Amino acid sequence: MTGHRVLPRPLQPLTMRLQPSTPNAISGAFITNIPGGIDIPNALHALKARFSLFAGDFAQALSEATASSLTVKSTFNFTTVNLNLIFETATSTNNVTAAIDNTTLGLPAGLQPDPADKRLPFYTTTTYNSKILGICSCIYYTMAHLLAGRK
Amino acid sequence: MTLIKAEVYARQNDLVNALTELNNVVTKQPASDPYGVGAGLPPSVAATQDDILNEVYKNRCIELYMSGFKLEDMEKI
Repeated sequence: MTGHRVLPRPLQPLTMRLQPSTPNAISGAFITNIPGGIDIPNALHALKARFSLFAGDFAQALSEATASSLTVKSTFNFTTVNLNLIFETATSTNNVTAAIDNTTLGLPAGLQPDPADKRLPFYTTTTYNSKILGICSCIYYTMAHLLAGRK
Repeated sequence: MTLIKAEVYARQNDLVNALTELNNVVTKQPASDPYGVGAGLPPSVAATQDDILNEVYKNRCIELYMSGFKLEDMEKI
């Protein structure tokens, strides 16, 4: 089915921001006041692709997905003071929320990953570094997925 | 982005391109991803539109684990 849910409102500001004249016009004052690590134009293309797909606009989803680079990396950079809070509550302790089973990610039969799937360790690691290093944690990724040119 | 392309092609019934994009994800090695995330599995042989869409959904469940897209994806089934 298509167009199951129309999401025009998120698309409007994304479209305005991506007008040909504006992608390079992000002010320095804005950049210095937000956390580093996020490529804004690429993130906007990725967000627009996602919302276009949700809205059922396939042509726009395809063009925006193509415009979003898969090699440009965006991360939320955590520190020992500002820990990766979703990792803290969902993965590192497994006593708040967690997948029922790390080998299935809690998915039903038919959707469960192949045991040889090399993505599993990335999403289920409990190593301490994941608290602060966006790079190997599973959950920094939660928003970075949205922002970067991820799947 | 690759699974978005796969889903778009599949829903437009362009199954050749859909399967190509899907397998870009399924066969990707961790070393070739800037985040180190890759399935490294044999390519999918899904043949029909439904099969490909199911594979896309399955891979979105894994690739976007805990990313907040599950509700939207479940609604699309």
